[in-house]
Amino acid sequence: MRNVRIAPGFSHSIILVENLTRGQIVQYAGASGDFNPLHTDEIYATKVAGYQSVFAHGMLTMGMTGKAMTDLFGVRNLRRFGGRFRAQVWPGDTLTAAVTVSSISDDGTAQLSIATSNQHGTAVFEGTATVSVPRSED
Amino acid sequence: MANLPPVQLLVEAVQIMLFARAIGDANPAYVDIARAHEMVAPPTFTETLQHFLPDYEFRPHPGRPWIGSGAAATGTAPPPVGETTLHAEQHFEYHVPVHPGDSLAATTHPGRTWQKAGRSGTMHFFERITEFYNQDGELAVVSRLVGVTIEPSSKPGQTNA
Repeated sequence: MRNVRIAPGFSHSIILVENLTRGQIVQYAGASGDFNPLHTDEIYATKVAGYQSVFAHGMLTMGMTGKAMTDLFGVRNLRRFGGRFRAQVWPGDTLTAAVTVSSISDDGTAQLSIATSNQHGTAVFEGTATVSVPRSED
Repeated sequence: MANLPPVQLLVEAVQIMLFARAIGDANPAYVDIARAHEMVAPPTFTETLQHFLPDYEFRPHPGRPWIGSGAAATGTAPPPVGETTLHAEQHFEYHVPVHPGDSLAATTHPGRTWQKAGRSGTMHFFERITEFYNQDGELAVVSRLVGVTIEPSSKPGQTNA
């Protein structure tokens, strides 16, 4: 957890992955237990399901996105994390996550907005989170 | 979808490390298994519940047909043309951190359902809510999945993401 001054408007971006590989998608399948052939099996994804290739689990994108918050605020301070999968993530994609502090509440929490986008600037995941932060700048 | 019986998710240090590798996060709190007592699970780690579901449809099972390719492009009947189910939204609430050695009892129940007209057919949305209680009986994590089945014909299909 880094020492950052948390104020509304504070924004932080990180690259989550460059040139996402089929290997990493399969690695996530093995780790998470979701071996859906749309993510792991190019033959099924293209010939049966009609996609251009396999694509990443939405939860791989969301899992990677978590780093943008936990690096700043610490895993144990996360109270809520959620969002919407806006577009598919394909092999070869490069993803960037931006976290912005929307507001700070009297109860010692900060509300964050989160957007992960690909190399074309298309949002692939958009959401919000709540984290616990120190109450004052002391 | 009916309520399912609770499933135990056993949280192990090595599984946390493997999961962290897959999401590309080298946070020492996830990967330093020599200091497992200081480890904590990443925010989306409860997804590994899939490993513990006895009949999970998106894991190959010995002796059963598998939807993916083998000798043929699929080992089962393909889904109806144009029909697809996707992971639309995912929301987590965190109450108590998850650590190696935890045993989480996961209970899943259906939530709201609603419909919307989409470009390629009717979009049927559904929620699936899973509560994870730790071995001390504390509610640790709540997961709310929103799925959407896009239905040009009339039957629900598989979950694709």
